Amino acid sequence: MFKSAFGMTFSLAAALCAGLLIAQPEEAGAAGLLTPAGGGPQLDLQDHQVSVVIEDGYAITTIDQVFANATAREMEAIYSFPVPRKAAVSEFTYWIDGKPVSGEVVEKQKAREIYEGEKQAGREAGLAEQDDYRSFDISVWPVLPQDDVRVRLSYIQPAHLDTGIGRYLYPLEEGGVDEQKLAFWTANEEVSGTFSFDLHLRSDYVVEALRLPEHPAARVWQEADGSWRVHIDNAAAAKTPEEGDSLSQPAAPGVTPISLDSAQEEEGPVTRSFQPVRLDRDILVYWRQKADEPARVDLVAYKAADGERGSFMLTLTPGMDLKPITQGRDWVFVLDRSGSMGGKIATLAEGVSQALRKLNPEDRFRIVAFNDGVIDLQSQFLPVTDENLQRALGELHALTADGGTNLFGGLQRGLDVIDADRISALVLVTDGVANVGRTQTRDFFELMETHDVRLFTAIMGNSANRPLLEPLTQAANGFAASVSNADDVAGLLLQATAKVTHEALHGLSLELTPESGGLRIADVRGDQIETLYRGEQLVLFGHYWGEGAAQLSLSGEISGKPVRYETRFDFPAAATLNPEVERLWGFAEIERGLQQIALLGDDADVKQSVVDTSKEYGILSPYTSMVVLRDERFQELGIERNNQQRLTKEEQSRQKRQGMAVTSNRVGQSQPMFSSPRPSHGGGSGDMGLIGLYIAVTLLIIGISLRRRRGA
Amino acid sequence: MRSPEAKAASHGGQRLPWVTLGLLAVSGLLYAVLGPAPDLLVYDRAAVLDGQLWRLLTGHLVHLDGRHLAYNLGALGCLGYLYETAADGGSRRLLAAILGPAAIAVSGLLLLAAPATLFYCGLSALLNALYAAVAVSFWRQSGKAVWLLLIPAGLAKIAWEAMNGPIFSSGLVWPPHLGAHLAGLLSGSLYCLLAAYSEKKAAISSSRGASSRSGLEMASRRAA
Repeated sequence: MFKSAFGMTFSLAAALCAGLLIAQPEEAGAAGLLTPAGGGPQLDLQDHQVSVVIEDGYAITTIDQVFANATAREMEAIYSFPVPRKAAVSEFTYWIDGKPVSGEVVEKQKAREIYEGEKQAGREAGLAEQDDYRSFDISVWPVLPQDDVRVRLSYIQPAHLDTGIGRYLYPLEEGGVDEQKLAFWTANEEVSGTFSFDLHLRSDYVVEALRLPEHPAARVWQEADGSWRVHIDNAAAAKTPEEGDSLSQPAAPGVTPISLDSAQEEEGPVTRSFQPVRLDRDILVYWRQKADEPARVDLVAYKAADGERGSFMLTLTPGMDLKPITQGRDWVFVLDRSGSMGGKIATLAEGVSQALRKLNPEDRFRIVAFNDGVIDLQSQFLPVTDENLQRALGELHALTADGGTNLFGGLQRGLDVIDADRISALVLVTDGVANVGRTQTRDFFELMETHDVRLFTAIMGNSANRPLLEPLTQAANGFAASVSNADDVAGLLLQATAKVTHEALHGLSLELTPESGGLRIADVRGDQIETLYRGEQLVLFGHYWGEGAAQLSLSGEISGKPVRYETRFDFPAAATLNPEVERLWGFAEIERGLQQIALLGDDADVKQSVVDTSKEYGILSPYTSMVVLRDERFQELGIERNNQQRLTKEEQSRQKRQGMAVTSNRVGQSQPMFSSPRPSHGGGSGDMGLIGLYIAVTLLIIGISLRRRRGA
Repeated sequence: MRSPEAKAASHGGQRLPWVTLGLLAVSGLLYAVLGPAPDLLVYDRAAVLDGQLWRLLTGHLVHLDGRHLAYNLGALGCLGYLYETAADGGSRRLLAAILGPAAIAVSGLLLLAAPATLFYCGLSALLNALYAAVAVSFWRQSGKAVWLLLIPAGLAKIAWEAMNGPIFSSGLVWPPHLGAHLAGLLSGSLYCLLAAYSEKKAAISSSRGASSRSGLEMASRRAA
């Protein structure tokens, strides 16, 4: 029997998420070069090289691409890819006359006008835009006949841990939620030349394992300094035909490459061949910290030596005494069966089936499905019996995906059927693109406010409306899990089951107070979390002036009992290694503004604030774009090169960091905030592994031969 | 007293490894019916402390995924067959002297010395005990002590994994539990080496007894 219904909540959510991963979607869209639907010549996505550096609590992803034009006329390259979670696009560079020119942030409409103007004038121009939560779109003009263009895009995103497990996702699968776009464009998602993915993970935490569940052939190794590297490419070595040998078989995508040194290349006996790769499968990397790492507070600050204002990122990895709890409840599953779920409906049904099978015999369940309308799969709550489960599973697997998304209606129905006398939980599975009925974010928040129910959300795909679903779930004191088809079933299960049997810290309050007049702290931003679950980290961004000690306190209630954790640490007078922290603050500020607009409606002041922040910090937003022009055109149009300066500063710091040993950002060690250790998954397995199996088989052969010899 | 092998031979053929086959069937069936790491059966520290003691046993029989199951059952098939059909092995000894005590040792370790391990599942800690038993069995069958080096080799593998991370990890978040592997290997080694020592000692004393009895007989004959 389950230890707790509360734990069961997570267990179910976990099972659901895991199940969602078991069934593969029928089809997946992908990142790619867009061409108007209906045919016509296509550009060639020649090279796609991804480099990721994860250190100091954030990841910097850089994508270098070459688009080639094999046709006889000038063409425009439009590359579209899914918006990575919490990604601040900080660089868009276009090689003009062989030299890299980086983009500057301009208001969206103006940027589009500038781009179109340059295009009409026959000058080189590039434009990076964000299509809300759905995609980033890059446009480049011109790609000359029989020529190619090179572009680079970089983005920064926090890289935090849950229960000692880090997760990095390079999203490529397009969610298929934008029907208009899908109808208008077709995507060339095949890389014909080089494809590579390199990741370097540097951490002062001890990382004991790193894994790519969907790319088992990726080359993964640990450096002498303890950092980890991953390499995937599509290169294979092949003898030239002149050598007389037939070409070797090209490597399958993701296969460990055969590296070539420059000498070999110069001598020419070996040439590279490339297996075309489709950009339709997410690349997902997990890493696991050593289990006994302590609970801690990390401070990553940036303050120029001559600067007045500093920026900081504060990460709390709590170690709280969260005990197991026990209770039972009703379950309402609210399932999206709209057209945009077409490729995911089988996955959804399988995931919910998994969750249903995990129900406690004392629990009751009910399933609501929605598209344009809402249907109850059951007329009342049903006890968990074999017969009821079988019937429900049959109904689930018969679900088809079509129509629009009446998310509000589905959620409302799910809330309406709840029995007020029972403890209940609502599990929502959706890609969250509401387009029927009420679609305003504030309507959803108002709806949730009227019900005392915990909401758990499985957000499917890369193009889900995370800006709606994540805050909504937080507001209902639940947790949202993003689900990629590349996710690891066991990993995801464990992510959630780590929270299963334990209490949470409710009514969370965080205070950061300077101890003296020499330090001022302001503009603190971060997730508006009111409940902190076991294993979750808490991340804050802020500004500071001066230097000196500050007091940090975290308080709240665990099972009705007030708790308070405190520590103190110093803010440095100067810290120059991590200028990216400024952009991370900027992104948190933009997110806050966008959430305000979503909740309270269009507000010119808030919108202007988003635009200003976006321009100041050089970050793409739904209201701004990044435009690349010839150097002289920036001057003529009066566009300052703020982002170029920022990129230069960041590049210098990055090179400096790469040349140094990994530094610890841990603070408050003289007065540790938490006395309990950081929770780890605490799971162990008895696993012989492949090596164990080999040994056993070898012993079997030896044993049999020993016996035969004795018998002889 | 006849050896199990001799007994088997007298029944007209080699014994079937019933315990091994039974464990293979039970583990496979549990996975087929209940799926990966069923909540009711895994070692769950909080639940065990709450009185659900069956988990101390069942945790060893359930697995995280198909790969985890396949490797463990493959190894069980090989090692279990070797030990259960060996002259110094047998079904009863496999169950009562190797796997049973190993399960107690591993579960005891998890419960008493590994409070950070909240969940556990898989058969391999017990397989480590069986591995040690097979090593000792090879020594006894061949009379060559070199086979005993398999035990320090097993220890070295665990030590290497402790320093460098597991060679192969079955699941992301439930990595191989090296403490459990060590407990299994030590428990199996300890029992088999002690058993071999005591059997050897018994054999020596019985041969001494036999020779002293024959000496007495000779003396009494002379006296007569």
